[in-house]
Amino acid sequence: MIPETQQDLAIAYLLGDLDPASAARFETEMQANAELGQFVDELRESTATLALVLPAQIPPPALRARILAGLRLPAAAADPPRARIIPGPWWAGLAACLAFALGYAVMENRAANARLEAERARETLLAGSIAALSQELVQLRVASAAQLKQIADLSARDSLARVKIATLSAQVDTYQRAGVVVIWDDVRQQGLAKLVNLPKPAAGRDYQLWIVDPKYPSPVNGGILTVTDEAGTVASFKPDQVITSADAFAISVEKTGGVPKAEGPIVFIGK
Amino acid sequence: MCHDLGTLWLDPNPLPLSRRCMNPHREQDREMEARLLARVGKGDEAAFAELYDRISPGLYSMAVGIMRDPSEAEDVVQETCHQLWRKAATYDLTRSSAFTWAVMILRHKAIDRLRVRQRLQRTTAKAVDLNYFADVDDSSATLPLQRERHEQVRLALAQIPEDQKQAVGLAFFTGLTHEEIAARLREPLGTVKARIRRGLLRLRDYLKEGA
Repeated sequence: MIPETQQDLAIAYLLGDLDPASAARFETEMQANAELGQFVDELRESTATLALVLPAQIPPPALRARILAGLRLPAAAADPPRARIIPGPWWAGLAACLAFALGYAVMENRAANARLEAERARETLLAGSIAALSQELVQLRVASAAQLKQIADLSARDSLARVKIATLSAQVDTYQRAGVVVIWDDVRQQGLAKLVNLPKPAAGRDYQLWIVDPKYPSPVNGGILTVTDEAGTVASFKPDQVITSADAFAISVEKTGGVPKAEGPIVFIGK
Repeated sequence: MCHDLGTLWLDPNPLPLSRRCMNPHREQDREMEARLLARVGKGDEAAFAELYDRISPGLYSMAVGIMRDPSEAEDVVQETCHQLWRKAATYDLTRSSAFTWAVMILRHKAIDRLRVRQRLQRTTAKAVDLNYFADVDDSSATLPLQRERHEQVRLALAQIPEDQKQAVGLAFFTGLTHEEIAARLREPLGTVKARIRRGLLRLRDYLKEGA
């Protein structure tokens, strides 16, 4: 007989409410206790049937086509836009990732991550600061779909930086043509945001970047993103608190100068 | 969003009805899906397509129910299916059915997205229902092969007290922590945990009886 406290623990485990350390301990316990393991397996089966009680929906055929087409792509290209981690020296990966950001930010091709030629970008960017890097990248051209494979190969190399790339999705129709890619350097605690086709904000307003870190109750202020060129802008940012885990990024429209805590509408979100 | 049987033939790529939405929990279905998943683990794309056709209506329905946004629901289903594809070789059929495995993966991804959205929008939920099972009835299962299992689950849920159903619905579909559910329902945490536990155990027991 499984005690109620252990039953509650089992339920928390199944529902994903245990922290990683507790979940690992519980899994060890399950492996050592066959009765507990069987309890969890049976509960998982019955709990999953709850999926059947919601109103039935038929998935659109286009979704099926998209999923099947993505089976042969690398994980990052197959899934809808989300963050990736790439290991290596910060400047090299930053160069590669900025090259990636420029290509990807073209919103006409949400499903494909175009990048610039990584080798040329890396050599060019070695001697520069982040500011010089931004200016160099503005000159780069949008890559073709064939270059995606080059980028995927490059991403596997040891020399690439430990950075995170997030493509943000527009939450409002007004910005559907715009593209936003955020590159975050976890080690240096700073990043870049590539903004493409993003209109300048209305008078008295600014775009403000936020970083979602589960350590903090509210999103962390990443600062104002200034659109210098609506066709394409690369803006650097540095959050005002230490980021342990950048789970997601968001952009809101705030009053000029920004606010300490997000108040305005969220116009872009991504992870 | 729901399609009825009369419109299915309009699909330019119609699949046999038997493939449209299988009952995932009958023994023969479990075995079929386990075989398909074993083939998927070896890189068999045709097997994956067949598995997708069997389980996608259930997955998509759940994704829409949690995300309340068809576009995000599609993204969640896409991520789930690609994870199934990548991890199929590690699937252990002795632990769960293929459908259960897929449901739990999807729920994890959907809740993860929901929590990010909620944190950013400074709302605890996008119009969270306090009772996810209020509209459960046969008419919502439009495809005949779903109706049998749907009926079993409906009958099982009908045996569960409302307060337990409510707590289970919030825990499973919204990603609220037990503390948040307790705050929302204005009940002690221990009471909420007990309701969730009893509700899920009753569901397990009633489904066992009905099997």
